[in-house]
Amino acid sequence: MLSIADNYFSQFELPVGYEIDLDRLNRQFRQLQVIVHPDRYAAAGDEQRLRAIKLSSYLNEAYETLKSPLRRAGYLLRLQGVDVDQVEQSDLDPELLFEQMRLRETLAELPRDESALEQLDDLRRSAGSRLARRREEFAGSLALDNLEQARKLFHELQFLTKFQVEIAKVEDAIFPD
Amino acid sequence: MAYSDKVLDHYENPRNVGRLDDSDANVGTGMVGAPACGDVMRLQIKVDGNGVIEDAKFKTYGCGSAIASSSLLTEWVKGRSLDDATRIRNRDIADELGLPPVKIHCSVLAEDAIKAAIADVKKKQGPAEE
Repeated sequence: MLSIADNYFSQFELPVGYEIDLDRLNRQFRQLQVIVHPDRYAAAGDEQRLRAIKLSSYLNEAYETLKSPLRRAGYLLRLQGVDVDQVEQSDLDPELLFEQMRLRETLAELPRDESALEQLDDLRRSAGSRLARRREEFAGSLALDNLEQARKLFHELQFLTKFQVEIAKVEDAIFPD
Repeated sequence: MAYSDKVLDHYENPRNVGRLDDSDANVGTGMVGAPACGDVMRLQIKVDGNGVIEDAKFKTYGCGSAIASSSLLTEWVKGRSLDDATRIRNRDIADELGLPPVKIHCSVLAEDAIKAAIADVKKKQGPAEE
Protein backbone atom coordinates (compact mmCIF):
# COMPACT_ATOMS: atom_id res chain seq x y z
CA MET A 1 0.00 0.00 0.00
CA LEU A 2 2.56 2.53 1.20
CA SER A 3 5.51 2.28 3.50
CA ILE A 4 6.35 4.71 6.24
CA ALA A 5 9.55 6.62 5.58
CA ASP A 6 12.20 7.57 8.14
CA ASN A 7 10.82 11.06 8.45
CA TYR A 8 8.11 13.32 7.10
CA PHE A 9 10.39 14.89 4.50
CA SER A 10 11.42 11.66 2.85
CA GLN A 11 7.80 10.55 3.01
CA PHE A 12 7.07 13.29 0.50
CA GLU A 13 10.41 12.88 -1.30
CA LEU A 14 11.60 16.27 -0.14
CA PRO A 15 15.07 17.18 1.08
CA VAL A 16 15.32 17.59 4.86
CA GLY A 17 15.61 21.30 5.60
CA TYR A 18 13.73 24.40 6.61
CA GLU A 19 13.39 25.74 3.07
CA ILE A 20 10.65 23.75 1.45
CA ASP A 21 9.02 23.46 -1.96
CA LEU A 22 5.40 23.87 -0.92
CA ASP A 23 4.02 23.11 -4.40
CA ARG A 24 5.84 19.84 -4.40
CA LEU A 25 4.68 19.07 -0.87
CA ASN A 26 1.07 19.71 -1.93
CA ARG A 27 1.41 17.55 -5.04
CA GLN A 28 3.04 14.66 -3.22
CA PHE A 29 0.53 14.82 -0.42
CA ARG A 30 -2.42 14.66 -2.82
CA GLN A 31 -0.92 11.71 -4.70
CA LEU A 32 -0.22 9.71 -1.56
CA GLN A 33 -3.58 10.59 -0.11
CA VAL A 34 -5.27 8.98 -3.08
CA ILE A 35 -3.28 5.79 -2.60
CA VAL A 36 -4.24 5.37 1.04
CA HIS A 37 -7.74 6.78 0.86
CA PRO A 38 -9.84 4.48 3.08
CA ASP A 39 -12.64 4.45 0.47
CA ARG A 40 -10.38 2.46 -1.82
CA TYR A 41 -10.24 -0.29 0.77
CA ALA A 42 -13.95 -0.44 1.47
CA ALA A 43 -14.08 -3.93 -0.02
CA ALA A 44 -10.76 -5.04 1.46
CA GLY A 45 -10.31 -6.97 4.69
CA ASP A 46 -10.41 -5.30 8.12
CA GLU A 47 -6.66 -5.33 8.42
CA GLN A 48 -6.13 -3.50 5.12
CA ARG A 49 -8.84 -1.01 5.92
CA LEU A 50 -7.42 -0.24 9.33
CA ARG A 51 -4.00 0.16 7.82
CA ALA A 52 -5.34 2.64 5.25
CA ILE A 53 -6.98 4.69 8.00
CA LYS A 54 -3.78 4.77 10.02
CA LEU A 55 -1.66 5.73 7.03
CA SER A 56 -4.10 8.40 6.02
CA SER A 57 -3.98 10.06 9.42
CA TYR A 58 -0.20 9.71 9.51
CA LEU A 59 0.02 11.49 6.15
CA ASN A 60 -2.25 14.26 7.36
CA GLU A 61 -0.10 14.80 10.41
CA ALA A 62 3.08 14.78 8.32
CA TYR A 63 1.59 17.22 5.83
CA GLU A 64 0.28 19.66 8.45
CA THR A 65 3.62 19.57 10.24
CA LEU A 66 5.67 20.37 7.15
CA LYS A 67 3.23 22.95 5.80
CA SER A 68 3.38 25.16 8.90
CA PRO A 69 6.65 27.13 9.13
CA LEU A 70 6.55 26.97 12.94
CA ARG A 71 5.71 23.28 13.24
CA ARG A 72 8.26 22.46 10.54
CA ALA A 73 10.93 24.28 12.54
CA GLY A 74 10.04 22.36 15.70
CA TYR A 75 10.01 19.07 13.81
CA LEU A 76 13.46 19.71 12.34
CA LEU A 77 14.83 20.32 15.83
CA ARG A 78 13.19 17.14 17.08
CA LEU A 79 14.82 15.23 14.23
CA GLN A 80 18.13 16.53 15.59
CA GLY A 81 17.27 15.23 19.03
CA VAL A 82 16.36 18.61 20.53
CA ASP A 83 13.41 18.37 22.91
CA VAL A 84 11.73 21.70 22.19
CA ASP A 85 8.85 21.00 24.57
CA GLN A 86 11.10 20.85 27.60
CA VAL A 87 11.86 24.52 28.21
CA GLU A 88 13.70 25.94 31.20
CA GLN A 89 13.59 29.67 31.87
CA SER A 90 17.37 29.72 31.47
CA ASP A 91 16.84 28.67 27.83
CA LEU A 92 15.08 31.97 27.19
CA ASP A 93 16.79 35.25 26.55
CA PRO A 94 15.62 37.83 29.16
CA GLU A 95 15.63 40.50 26.47
CA LEU A 96 13.27 38.40 24.37
CA LEU A 97 10.86 38.14 27.31
CA PHE A 98 11.02 41.87 28.06
CA GLU A 99 10.37 42.65 24.43
CA GLN A 100 7.44 40.24 24.21
CA MET A 101 5.95 41.77 27.34
CA ARG A 102 6.37 45.24 25.87
CA LEU A 103 4.74 44.19 22.59
CA ARG A 104 1.81 42.54 24.35
CA GLU A 105 1.32 45.59 26.58
CA THR A 106 1.40 47.91 23.57
CA LEU A 107 -1.24 45.80 21.85
CA ALA A 108 -3.39 45.57 24.99
CA GLU A 109 -3.34 49.33 25.46
CA LEU A 110 -4.54 50.18 21.95
CA PRO A 111 -8.05 51.58 21.83
CA ARG A 112 -10.55 49.02 20.55
CA ASP A 113 -11.80 51.17 17.71
CA GLU A 114 -10.73 52.40 14.29
CA SER A 115 -8.27 54.91 15.75
CA ALA A 116 -6.01 51.93 16.51
CA LEU A 117 -5.73 50.80 12.90
CA GLU A 118 -2.57 52.64 12.01
CA GLN A 119 -0.70 51.32 15.04
CA LEU A 120 -2.08 47.85 14.44
CA ASP A 121 -0.71 48.02 10.90
CA ASP A 122 2.68 49.04 12.22
CA LEU A 123 2.70 46.23 14.77
CA ARG A 124 1.65 43.67 12.20
CA ARG A 125 4.22 44.81 9.68
CA SER A 126 7.10 44.87 12.13
CA ALA A 127 6.13 41.49 13.58
CA GLY A 128 5.92 40.09 10.05
CA SER A 129 9.32 41.35 8.98
CA ARG A 130 10.91 40.26 12.25
CA LEU A 131 9.42 36.81 11.76
CA ALA A 132 10.76 36.61 8.20
CA ARG A 133 14.22 37.61 9.41
CA ARG A 134 14.21 35.11 12.27
CA ARG A 135 13.08 32.34 9.94
CA GLU A 136 16.07 32.98 7.71
CA GLU A 137 18.36 32.97 10.71
CA PHE A 138 16.78 29.76 11.92
CA ALA A 139 17.38 28.10 8.54
CA GLY A 140 20.98 29.30 8.63
CA SER A 141 21.62 28.07 12.18
CA LEU A 142 20.16 24.69 11.38
CA ALA A 143 22.20 24.37 8.20
CA LEU A 144 25.33 25.12 10.23
CA ASP A 145 24.28 22.61 12.86
CA ASN A 146 24.20 25.35 15.48
CA LEU A 147 21.39 23.71 17.42
CA GLU A 148 21.66 25.92 20.49
CA GLN A 149 21.12 29.01 18.37
CA ALA A 150 18.40 27.32 16.32
CA ARG A 151 16.55 26.38 19.46
CA LYS A 152 16.63 29.96 20.77
CA LEU A 153 15.39 31.23 17.43
CA PHE A 154 12.64 28.63 17.44
CA HIS A 155 11.36 29.96 20.76
CA GLU A 156 11.34 33.46 19.34
CA LEU A 157 9.40 32.17 16.32
CA GLN A 158 6.87 30.69 18.74
CA PHE A 159 6.39 34.01 20.54
CA LEU A 160 6.21 36.02 17.32
CA THR A 161 3.68 33.63 15.78
CA LYS A 162 1.54 33.92 18.90
CA PHE A 163 1.85 37.70 18.77
CA GLN A 164 0.54 37.69 15.21
CA VAL A 165 -2.46 35.67 16.36
CA GLU A 166 -3.09 38.22 19.12
CA ILE A 167 -2.90 41.11 16.63
CA ALA A 168 -5.44 39.33 14.42
CA LYS A 169 -7.75 38.90 17.41
CA VAL A 170 -7.70 42.63 18.11
CA GLU A 171 -8.39 43.35 14.45
CA ASP A 172 -11.32 40.94 14.51
CA ALA A 173 -12.65 42.64 17.63
CA ILE A 174 -12.59 46.02 15.87
CA PHE A 175 -14.02 44.69 12.60
CA PRO A 176 -16.20 41.72 13.43
CA ASP A 177 -17.24 40.24 10.09
CA MET B 1 -11.95 22.68 29.02
CA ALA B 2 -13.86 23.76 32.07
CA TYR B 3 -12.05 26.03 34.49
CA SER B 4 -12.56 25.62 38.21
CA ASP B 5 -14.49 28.32 40.09
CA LYS B 6 -11.27 29.53 41.70
CA VAL B 7 -9.53 29.92 38.35
CA LEU B 8 -12.54 31.77 36.98
CA ASP B 9 -12.62 34.05 39.99
CA HIS B 10 -8.97 35.04 39.57
CA TYR B 11 -9.37 35.29 35.82
CA GLU B 12 -12.38 37.58 36.05
CA ASN B 13 -11.14 39.55 39.06
CA PRO B 14 -7.36 39.32 38.93
CA ARG B 15 -5.70 40.62 42.10
CA ASN B 16 -2.74 42.96 42.06
CA VAL B 17 -2.46 43.59 38.35
CA GLY B 18 0.05 46.28 37.53
CA ARG B 19 3.67 47.16 37.83
CA LEU B 20 6.15 48.35 40.41
CA ASP B 21 9.03 50.72 39.76
CA ASP B 22 11.88 48.46 38.69
CA SER B 23 14.46 51.19 39.40
CA ASP B 24 13.59 50.91 43.11
CA ALA B 25 16.27 48.86 44.88
CA ASN B 26 13.55 47.22 46.98
CA VAL B 27 11.70 45.95 43.94
CA GLY B 28 12.46 42.61 42.33
CA THR B 29 11.17 41.64 38.89
CA GLY B 30 10.68 38.14 37.58
CA MET B 31 10.02 37.88 33.86
CA VAL B 32 9.25 34.42 32.53
CA GLY B 33 7.66 32.89 29.47
CA ALA B 34 6.22 29.72 27.99
CA PRO B 35 7.10 29.70 24.30
CA ALA B 36 4.82 26.81 23.38
CA CYS B 37 1.77 28.86 24.41
CA GLY B 38 3.38 32.25 23.75
CA ASP B 39 2.67 33.25 27.36
CA VAL B 40 4.63 35.97 29.12
CA MET B 41 4.42 36.68 32.84
CA ARG B 42 5.89 39.52 34.88
CA LEU B 43 5.82 39.21 38.65
CA GLN B 44 7.18 41.94 40.89
CA ILE B 45 7.66 42.17 44.61
CA LYS B 46 8.59 45.03 46.91
CA VAL B 47 10.30 44.28 50.19
CA ASP B 48 10.40 46.45 53.31
CA GLY B 49 13.43 47.05 55.54
CA ASN B 50 12.94 43.69 57.26
CA GLY B 51 12.97 41.65 54.08
CA VAL B 52 9.22 41.15 54.20
CA ILE B 53 7.26 41.38 50.96
CA GLU B 54 4.97 44.37 51.39
CA ASP B 55 3.60 44.55 47.86
CA ALA B 56 3.33 42.34 44.80
CA LYS B 57 2.08 43.02 41.28
CA PHE B 58 1.80 40.94 38.16
CA LYS B 59 0.97 41.15 34.50
CA THR B 60 0.35 37.97 32.56
CA TYR B 61 -0.52 37.49 28.91
CA GLY B 62 -1.68 33.93 28.69
CA CYS B 63 -4.49 31.53 29.41
CA GLY B 64 -6.86 31.68 32.39
CA SER B 65 -4.76 29.23 34.38
CA ALA B 66 -1.59 31.27 33.91
CA ILE B 67 -3.39 34.46 34.96
CA ALA B 68 -4.98 32.75 37.96
CA SER B 69 -1.66 31.19 39.04
CA SER B 70 0.13 34.52 39.07
CA SER B 71 -2.80 36.37 40.61
CA LEU B 72 -3.04 33.87 43.47
CA LEU B 73 0.70 33.97 43.98
CA THR B 74 0.73 37.76 44.46
CA GLU B 75 -1.88 37.31 47.19
CA TRP B 76 0.11 34.59 48.88
CA VAL B 77 3.50 36.28 48.97
CA LYS B 78 2.37 39.54 50.55
CA GLY B 79 3.42 39.62 54.18
CA ARG B 80 5.88 36.76 53.78
CA SER B 81 9.64 36.95 54.15
CA LEU B 82 11.69 36.29 51.03
CA ASP B 83 12.84 32.93 52.38
CA ASP B 84 9.30 31.98 53.23
CA ALA B 85 8.12 32.98 49.76
CA THR B 86 10.87 30.84 48.21
CA ARG B 87 9.21 27.80 49.73
CA ILE B 88 5.97 28.16 47.76
CA ARG B 89 5.73 25.26 45.34
CA ASN B 90 3.85 25.12 42.08
CA ARG B 91 2.03 22.10 43.52
CA ASP B 92 0.46 24.35 46.19
CA ILE B 93 -0.82 26.72 43.51
CA ALA B 94 -2.11 23.91 41.29
CA ASP B 95 -3.89 22.25 44.25
CA GLU B 96 -5.47 25.49 45.44
CA LEU B 97 -6.76 26.32 41.95
CA GLY B 98 -7.64 22.73 41.06
CA LEU B 99 -5.60 22.86 37.87
CA PRO B 100 -5.92 19.83 35.58
CA PRO B 101 -2.70 18.00 34.58
CA VAL B 102 -2.45 19.80 31.21
CA LYS B 103 -2.37 23.15 33.04
CA ILE B 104 0.18 22.29 35.71
CA HIS B 105 2.85 24.03 33.62
CA CYS B 106 1.05 27.33 34.27
CA SER B 107 1.69 26.97 37.99
CA VAL B 108 5.30 26.04 37.24
CA LEU B 109 5.60 29.29 35.32
CA ALA B 110 4.31 31.23 38.35
CA GLU B 111 6.80 29.50 40.64
CA ASP B 112 9.60 30.32 38.20
CA ALA B 113 8.44 33.94 38.20
CA ILE B 114 8.46 34.40 41.98
CA LYS B 115 11.86 32.73 42.24
CA ALA B 116 13.23 35.06 39.58
CA ALA B 117 11.74 38.09 41.35
CA ILE B 118 13.26 37.03 44.67
CA ALA B 119 16.65 36.41 43.05
CA ASP B 120 16.44 39.83 41.40
CA VAL B 121 15.72 41.76 44.58
CA LYS B 122 18.42 39.84 46.48
CA LYS B 123 20.91 40.68 43.76
CA LYS B 124 19.94 44.35 43.84
CA GLN B 125 20.33 44.55 47.58
CA GLY B 126 23.73 42.96 47.39
CA PRO B 127 25.23 40.37 49.71
CA ALA B 128 23.22 40.76 52.92
CA GLU B 129 24.15 39.64 56.41
CA GLU B 130 23.39 36.01 55.59
